[in-house]
Amino acid sequence: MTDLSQMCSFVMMRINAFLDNELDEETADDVRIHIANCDECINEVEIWTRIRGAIKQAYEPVTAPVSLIEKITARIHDMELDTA
Amino acid sequence: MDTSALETTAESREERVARFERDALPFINALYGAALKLTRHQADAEDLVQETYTKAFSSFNQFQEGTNLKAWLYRILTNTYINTYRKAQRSPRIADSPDIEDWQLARADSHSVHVSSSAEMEALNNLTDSRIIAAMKSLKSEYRYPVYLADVEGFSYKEIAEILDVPVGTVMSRLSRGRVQLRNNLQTICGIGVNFND
Repeated sequence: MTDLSQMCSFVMMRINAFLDNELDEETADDVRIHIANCDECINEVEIWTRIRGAIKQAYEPVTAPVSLIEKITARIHDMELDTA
Repeated sequence: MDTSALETTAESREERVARFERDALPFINALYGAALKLTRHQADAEDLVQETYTKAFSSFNQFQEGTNLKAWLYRILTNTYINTYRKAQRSPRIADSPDIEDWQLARADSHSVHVSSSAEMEALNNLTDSRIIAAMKSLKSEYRYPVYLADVEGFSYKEIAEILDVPVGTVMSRLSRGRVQLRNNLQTICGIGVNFND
């Protein structure tokens, strides 16, 4: 296994953590440097970016029914507090 | 800020209700959305959200001001869901699973499907919402819910760990597996997947 393919494996395992901003800065820099020089890995980043964007977009924000909000508000107003 | 802490514990009933309505109720649409994802039924989702808010209000004095109220509410919602609905089904869907094995499996999965990236990119350009929802629905809830919390709700790994009451490493492995499975599902749905392992 060459150093490059080892680095590709390292980066591919971390692309989503990278896109989630969950990598420490040093590792994130390693990923940035590698993807800037690797067509295969930048393609992976592009694919994951599109998938993640599509998921976010696919779920339209829902609105809770007004009747539910009214029920909850009424319930809260009727409830006893554990510490008054 | 010791004085404000004292004031908080000494707040009147009306003040508590007002603070709860001001701070917690605005999350109702997000919680209702999550409840729909979990229960898949409108009536169940409404019950779940109502129970969540009832529990949240009765223990609102335990909520630490300044910490993440949204994550706290999601945690109550998730726990209520597990205790009420999952127990009924006797299914340990959100049970712990070994992290290392998940990572290895996720990696194995990503190597089992061979698709040209240009074909995949083209399919993703024409991806419809209904296809992505279908791919999400075909995930086990153990994987679907963390992906939803991360990608739709934008929670951090640490927040998801708090919500699901599992270690951060478990969140990472479930997200990793969930996303790889989702991608494989999308490839199948879009008719571009060639899984050499199956």
